[in-house]
Amino acid sequence: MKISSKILWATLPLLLAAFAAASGITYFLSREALREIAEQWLETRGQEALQAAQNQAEFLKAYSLDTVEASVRQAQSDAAAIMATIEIGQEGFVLVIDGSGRIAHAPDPGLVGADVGKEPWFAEMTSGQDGQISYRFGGQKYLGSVHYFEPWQWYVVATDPESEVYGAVNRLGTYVLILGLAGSVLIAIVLMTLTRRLTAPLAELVQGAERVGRGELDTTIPVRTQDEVGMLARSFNDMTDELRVLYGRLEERLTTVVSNAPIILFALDGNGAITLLEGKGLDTLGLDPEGAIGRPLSGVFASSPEILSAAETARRGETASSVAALHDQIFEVWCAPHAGSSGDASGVIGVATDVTERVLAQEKLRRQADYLTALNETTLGIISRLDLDELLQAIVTRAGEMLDAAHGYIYLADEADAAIRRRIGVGVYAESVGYELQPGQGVAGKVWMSGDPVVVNDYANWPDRVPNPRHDGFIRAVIGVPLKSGTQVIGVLGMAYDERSERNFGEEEASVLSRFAELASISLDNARLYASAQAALRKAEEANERVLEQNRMLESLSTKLSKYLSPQVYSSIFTGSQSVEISAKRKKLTVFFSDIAGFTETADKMESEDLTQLLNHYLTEMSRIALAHGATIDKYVGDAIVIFFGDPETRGVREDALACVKMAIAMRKRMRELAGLWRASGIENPLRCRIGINTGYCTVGNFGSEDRMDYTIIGGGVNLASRLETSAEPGEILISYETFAHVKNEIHCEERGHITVKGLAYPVMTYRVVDSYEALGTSGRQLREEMPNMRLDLDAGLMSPDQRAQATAILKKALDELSN
Amino acid sequence: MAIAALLLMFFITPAANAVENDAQILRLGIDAADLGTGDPHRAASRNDRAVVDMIFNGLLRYKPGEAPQIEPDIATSIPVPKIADGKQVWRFELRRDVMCHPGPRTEGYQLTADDVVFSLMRAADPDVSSYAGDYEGMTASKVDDFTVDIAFDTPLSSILFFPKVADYAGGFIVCKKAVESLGDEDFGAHPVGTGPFVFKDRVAGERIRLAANEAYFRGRPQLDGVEVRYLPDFEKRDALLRDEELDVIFGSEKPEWFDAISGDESINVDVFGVGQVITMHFNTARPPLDDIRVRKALAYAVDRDVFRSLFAQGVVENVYSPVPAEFLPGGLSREEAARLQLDYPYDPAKARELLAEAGYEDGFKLKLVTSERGHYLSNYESLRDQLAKVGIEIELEVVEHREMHRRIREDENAIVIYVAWRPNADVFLTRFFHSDSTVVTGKSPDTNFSHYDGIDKLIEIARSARDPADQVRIWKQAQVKLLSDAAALPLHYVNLVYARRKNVDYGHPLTAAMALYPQFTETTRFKD
Repeated sequence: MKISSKILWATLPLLLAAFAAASGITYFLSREALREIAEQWLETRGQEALQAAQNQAEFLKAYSLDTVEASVRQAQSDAAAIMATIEIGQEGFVLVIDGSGRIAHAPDPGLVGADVGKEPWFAEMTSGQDGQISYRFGGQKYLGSVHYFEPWQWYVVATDPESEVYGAVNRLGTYVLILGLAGSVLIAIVLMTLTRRLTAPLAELVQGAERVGRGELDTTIPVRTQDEVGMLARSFNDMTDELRVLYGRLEERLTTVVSNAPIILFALDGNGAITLLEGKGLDTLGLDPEGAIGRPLSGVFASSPEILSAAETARRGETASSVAALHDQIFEVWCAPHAGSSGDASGVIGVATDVTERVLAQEKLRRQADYLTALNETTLGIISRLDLDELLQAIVTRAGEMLDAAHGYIYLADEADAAIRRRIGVGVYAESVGYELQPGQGVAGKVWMSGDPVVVNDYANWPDRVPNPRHDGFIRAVIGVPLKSGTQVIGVLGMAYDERSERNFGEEEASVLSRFAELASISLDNARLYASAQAALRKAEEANERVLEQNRMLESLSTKLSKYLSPQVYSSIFTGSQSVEISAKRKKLTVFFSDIAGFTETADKMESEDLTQLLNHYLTEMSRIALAHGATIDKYVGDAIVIFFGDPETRGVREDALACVKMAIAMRKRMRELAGLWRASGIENPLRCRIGINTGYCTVGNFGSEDRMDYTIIGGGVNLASRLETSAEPGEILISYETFAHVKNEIHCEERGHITVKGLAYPVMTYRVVDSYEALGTSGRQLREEMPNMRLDLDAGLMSPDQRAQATAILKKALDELSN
Repeated sequence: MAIAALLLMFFITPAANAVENDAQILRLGIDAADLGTGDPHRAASRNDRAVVDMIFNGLLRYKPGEAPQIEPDIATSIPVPKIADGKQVWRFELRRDVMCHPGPRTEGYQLTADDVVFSLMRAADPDVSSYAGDYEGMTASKVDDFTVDIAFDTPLSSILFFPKVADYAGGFIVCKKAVESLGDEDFGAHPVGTGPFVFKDRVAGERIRLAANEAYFRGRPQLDGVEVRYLPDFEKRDALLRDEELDVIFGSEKPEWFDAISGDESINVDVFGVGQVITMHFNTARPPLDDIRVRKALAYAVDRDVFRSLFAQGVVENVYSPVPAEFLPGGLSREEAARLQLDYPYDPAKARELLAEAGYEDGFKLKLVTSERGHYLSNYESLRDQLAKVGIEIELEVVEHREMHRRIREDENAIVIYVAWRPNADVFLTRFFHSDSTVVTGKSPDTNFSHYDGIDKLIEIARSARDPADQVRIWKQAQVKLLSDAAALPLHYVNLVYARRKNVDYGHPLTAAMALYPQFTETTRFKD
């Protein structure tokens, strides 16, 4: 406060003086400047006003209106209207005074017509040049700029009250004064505030340091500035913050250790009295730390001479440690000499650590290791068994041995996984094998449902037990563990002690049995896998048997089918060499057409049964011959037969043609033989075939729709064969030139002339097949002719000379008969 | 085509009748024998203009009932001109919600720049338009579908430009497709526009019917339609209004009727502008009126208030310059005229003095023709009576209206009393006082009955002035001159008189209407 006052008194008078001088100069200069400016714009406005009047006068002159009184007046009023729009500050205006000193135009209509001719300044106006004038009118001072407009004798005055011209400066004077005073006061306040802001933080810093010195570590000094003082304060705060954090962290660590670790922390003064007793270890001992303060250590740990002696050792200045039993707990004790805050020696600090759990755990671990060794050794013998029932028996027996339990069982889930059924039992459970439980029912049901081991040690009072007079009051404790395949519970292994036994099932037993169950589960899985593999094998055999059966059926079926298919086609389809699908290829084939001449008339005369028999007989015979020659029977249409050679198997075009013609000859021969047979069965006219054969390109393949396909041939070659057939005489085999060309070396043919075929541009040469040269060679002297009312069957080669002479006589006689 | 249109009417009429039972149809009785034409570019008579006003819009419009205030109509705003390539260009942005009415051969469609350009160029085409002269030197061109440029070789002020594109005369926008499909002749018989009402049908010599435009861009009219009845006989109109057979009629200026109708509680009489100006033109070329003293004597010898008393109170107001200051910029008010001593107050002594000075202390005789129609006959008779007091003897020959018009244009009357409305000061002054308009002898003889040639240059420079304030100033000077020369004596203007049943609400103020009837718009309605 003192510093600020000094600064204030030193500066304020100086400031006031400076402000006063500045205001005075400003006021004077501004006034001068304003006057100049005002004169300037009054002049400009005056020129504008004058211009308006000149414009109007020029207008009048331009249109010769300057002599028209009304026009001039109108123009003057227009000029005045324009002048009225000229703005001169807030209060300035343009005044027009005519030569006689009357106001001609003014913004205030009340002034128009007023006589100012008597005013001294009007005289000044009329006498002088255009220029500035300062005058007083209506009690107010004006600045004005005068222009004389000759044509209308107008004094045009652009004028503004001085109050407006200097108004700004006059107002400025007051403002400057007020500003000066206000500025001085403001600066004084600012100075004081600044000084205070400088000194205040220093004082706070001092106080803060004192507080920290007293140990108040939460002391914070407000940082108000960014200057050096502010930085000092910030550093101070950072320092106390760090101290506070360090201290807090230490305190926290100690508290965490003491309150969570199973230890007892104690301190004794030089007299052996307890000054500190803390730690979680006290809870287990049930000691009240508050009540113990001030008492000797022996008053608290009387029952543990180990602690007392360790403390005594420490009192003597040595660090000591030992293990002590306190009540049921075991403690490790560590004592050390401690110099108290006052520096006097012989204080003691001690820590007792509860190690009971650790000791017990070690004990338990050893026992488990024993169990596991036994488990391992003996289980290996079990898990290799593959027979399920045998395995189950072994599991229960072994589990009983391990836990020394007389009763045990295994439940396995049924196939639907809806219930579990007891598959095996020993002891009291042996009698009820097949017993069924629902999920959640009894111990086994609960295990099955939860997948976790269940232990019931007071079975008689277990509310969820399944009532059974044989078990109630007899079974003392039951344990059940799951048997799993992967994660799925597939069964439950259970063991029980009866009332004769003193034992209960603990965690250890549960753990041992669970592990055993895991191993048993693996072997169970193996056994089940084995069983299912066996079943699969059986099924495969059965399936194989069925396939064989089906194959046999198929075989017989295909044999039946073969009657309706060319064996080649049949075999190529059934052996898969040609698939049954719509496809076709172009090939050179020899095509055979035949039908029975006059069959329709014959058929009309016959009963249908006889007809069928006849036809079947005929077709069977022909087919047999065809197949014997390796033909592909295309189709039967009534009595007509279509056959081709060259597909699906070909022996070459030439061989195919030859085989076809030979087949035709064989057929014709067979027909002659059959004629006798048929005649005997009542068919008077012998059936005779017409046969046509052609060799040419045909399209062969499966034709038809997806549902029904025919393996057949189409094309010009087929048509020609058909045409040859219709052109043939009964009993005649007619072949085309193409076929003839292939067979002529082996077959004796005679020319039979041209035929025309629809679709062929040129006539086709035809040949009648006589017979093979081979046949002609051996039985060349055979003569067989047959016609209505005549039959000749002559085999001269076989005849004796007598027979020949006899035959010659007969034929001569016949010749004579015919020539007559 | 006319037959097709007729057929169309037959088909439409029965259905329309069915709806009209409780439909809100406003029935207007007007003083014409029939619809002349519905083509706005040809409609010249007062009654035809009323009809086209309901059917068409302009780029701009006079505020309904508040002429000469201007506001945008089809245009989105009132433009300011720019100079481009030595031309003055006014650019209009068009509203996008303006729909052409369905016509006899066209569907309703969105109005675009094409229609506007077509319409304006049509207005400028002397073969089609009665107003082509107003559009000389103008070109309209499309900038885009909704922007139109209107360019002038010689710049002109907004006062002269806006009426050309407002809802008046050639400024009405017609629908291009309708005009092209119908042809000019049939378009006149079935006008197709964009306005609040759609032309429906016509019974020749009896009535036309208009229906509400459902798609009107200012909203569907509250009325369902308008029926215009052609009833030249005032008595009949009056009777039908009283019998509630009509809702609005063109009234009468007669004081007797005013007295009579004021007794009817259910009827209101509206008196509103714009008023036609009645001016007395003196022939400055013919003795004895070639002497300015004689003309001034005539002016001082008549009393405007005496003329005014021929009409009902309020129907007629005095004017002091040929351009009526009440309705148009460029007129002189009573105060202005009086200040310049150009108001020629009634002063028979001065009149006699001037006559004596001119050598006519005993007066003289004049023979004048007059129409039998009210405005003319009563004014001429009053003139005769008033001049008799200063020794001037007038002999009146009453002829048919049309005949009078012919004969005064043949320069027969030394004094012509003429009743007229013109859209702006330029037209007023040009047609009545420019030497080119001088009857018989002028370059394009019109209605300069005064043979006056003292303000030709002033009229011309005013016309080309771009600053409206300058323009007004020059027009006033022109009139100061002609009044100084006593070339004419403006007497008064005649307001329009329409009577309506009290339940009719025009929906807007009614002080002045360029359309020369009370203007039925989308807001016009029947009060409950």
